Amino acid sequence: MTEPGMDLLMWARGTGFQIAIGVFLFGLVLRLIEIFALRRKADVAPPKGDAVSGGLRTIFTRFVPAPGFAALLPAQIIGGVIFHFGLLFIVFFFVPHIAVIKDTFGVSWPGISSAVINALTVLTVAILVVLLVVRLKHPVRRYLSDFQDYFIWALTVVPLVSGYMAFNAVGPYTIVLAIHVLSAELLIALIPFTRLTHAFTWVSSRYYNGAFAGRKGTMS
Amino acid sequence: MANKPILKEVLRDRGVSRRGFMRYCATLTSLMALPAAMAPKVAQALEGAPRPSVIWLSFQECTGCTESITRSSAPSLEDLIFNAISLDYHHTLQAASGHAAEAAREAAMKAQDGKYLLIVDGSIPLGNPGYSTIAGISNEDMLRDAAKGAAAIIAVGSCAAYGGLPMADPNPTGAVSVSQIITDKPVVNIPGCPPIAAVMTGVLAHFLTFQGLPDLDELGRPVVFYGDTIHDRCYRRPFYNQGLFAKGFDDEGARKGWCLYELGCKGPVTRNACATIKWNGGVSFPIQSGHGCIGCSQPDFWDAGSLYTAVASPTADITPVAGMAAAAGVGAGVAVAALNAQSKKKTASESTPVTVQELGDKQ
Amino acid sequence: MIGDYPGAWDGMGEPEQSVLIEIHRAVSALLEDDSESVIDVSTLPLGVADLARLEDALGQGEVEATIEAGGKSTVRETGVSGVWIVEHFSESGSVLAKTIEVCEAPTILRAHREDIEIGRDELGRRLA
Repeated sequence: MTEPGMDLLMWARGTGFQIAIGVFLFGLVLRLIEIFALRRKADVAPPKGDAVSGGLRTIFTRFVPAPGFAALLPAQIIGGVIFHFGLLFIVFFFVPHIAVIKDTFGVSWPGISSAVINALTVLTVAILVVLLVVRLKHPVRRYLSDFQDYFIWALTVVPLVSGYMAFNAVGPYTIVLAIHVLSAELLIALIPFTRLTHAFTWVSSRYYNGAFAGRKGTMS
Repeated sequence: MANKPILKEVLRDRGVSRRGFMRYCATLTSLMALPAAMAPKVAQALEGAPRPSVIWLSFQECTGCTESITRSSAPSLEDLIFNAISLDYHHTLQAASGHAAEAAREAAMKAQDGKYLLIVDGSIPLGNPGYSTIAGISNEDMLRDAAKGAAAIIAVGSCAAYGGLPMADPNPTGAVSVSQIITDKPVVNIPGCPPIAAVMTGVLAHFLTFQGLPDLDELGRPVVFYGDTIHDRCYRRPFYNQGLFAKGFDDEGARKGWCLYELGCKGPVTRNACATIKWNGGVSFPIQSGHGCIGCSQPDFWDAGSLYTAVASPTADITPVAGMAAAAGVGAGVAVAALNAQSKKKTASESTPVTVQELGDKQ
Repeated sequence: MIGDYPGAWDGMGEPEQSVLIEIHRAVSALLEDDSESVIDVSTLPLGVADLARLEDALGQGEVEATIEAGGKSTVRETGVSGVWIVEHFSESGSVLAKTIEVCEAPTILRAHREDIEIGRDELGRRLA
């Protein structure tokens, strides 16, 4: 006899967590080695600019949308920015999440008010819904979207919604918490094998593009 | 065996006034969420209960459940009530012992056949009956025998309800709960290590007043006492909501009474009435005394990770897994990179330069 | 209007209004056929503020008693004669049960036959 969800929660906290971290690290190391091992032929043309400074500059300039884009894609750009910062704060500054990190890696930092995180979660999920609607409503965007786009949307939204439910005591807590932990583990495990890899490659890919253009004396 | 009401005399002998008893019945009625007008009926049922109404068997247990009743707040009315209707058949408390006690138990079972309430504390070892016997009778045999004539069975404490500590990994005695053996009769589970005394008398009073059992949840627990989690009713809940957590048992947060989540409090996943009924006559409960809930009323609580690890934090060490995964990742990464380089070389060697002729053809 | 009470409009009524109506009915029943009523306050859907307004509306009566019978209990008559507020406290002072009783005198206040007998016997022994 067990409390509904307790077995699932205990599996998620033990074996599930080990599998998730294992798959994640395996995939991430594999992908990073694979990416950094890629080589281009030596560019023998004389450089017209500095690759390093171009690369470094682009890491930061890409935070600002290219001229014209903001007016063209307001929902994606504004929503995208808020969503990413929302996710950052929810994942790394919710006190119980910091407790998990502390229990796993031994490092910790101060969190922010749970009430703020709670409101941020509502906002972040709302933005995800808006972004999904925008994607579905526009024929070209819908055409360009494949299964993975919808899959990683769901992969992101389930931990957010279940976390909100657990915090606000919606539904049976043990089951909701088990779903929350399991869905977060699935998300972590699949990061290296989906477009979510950008969480780890955005700096290097921006640098690469920037350095490439910088050497040619152009801006990326 | 005297079959007359006796509670009145017991109460009188112990100096409990009628007012005191009425007060007790009023609070018990409120506790059980029964209509307030039922209080006199509860009093009547408790007083009119024939003796013996309860037969109490103790198996693999630590006597903590009995302690919870006998050492409850003064004057311990729970204790008096159980005394009045069951003391002769309580293994730990009865005066008789050995074969004399067993003879008395059998006589009582016969006298109240089909009407008595069977209370069990402790788990039952199936690994080897010799692990726990009473007068040479194995726990399993005694339980099956006593259950036959019982109107209902109450498994008191986490051991009887879910196997408890004896069943903790690796369960050396092959311990099981009451409901794993008795499947043809209603079994009420009153888990807790120990359970709250008022919950035990509440269920008893309900049985005597209505000749039936209170509403039970899917784990056999009375909904009225186990419907909410500790976290639902915790007075420190506002601190959880604000994100104010004690980080140690002696830090500023602990002194200010902040939430004990990070110190491993199992309140969010534990169903019990500690936060409302509290202990020692309503004086306090673990969280109020500065220690997180250990989840003692939950099945398998002993195997549910460290008592001091947050309820969502990992229970397993990931270092070896992380090391192996990273090493495998390096191996696989190098292999994939080599394959990529090879296929690039192959593509380069197999391809031939495009001629002007071909470009012309394409147009 | 709620039931027979033209003064009680559901639109303007605070949550305690319906409890007052119930108490009014109970007092009428006590006068008509001596039937007593008890309301467990903890089962009422009233917040702390609603409860305070309810007690304000009932007012303060002539009797206030403290009973020490296996713990502290208090009995207060409200401004409406025959309506009592009975509270049982734990050792730490928290409320274990709180009821509104409509009767001539709450059970907990009355001397009970069993206790009177004990008193008589005790007194008799002292006189003997």
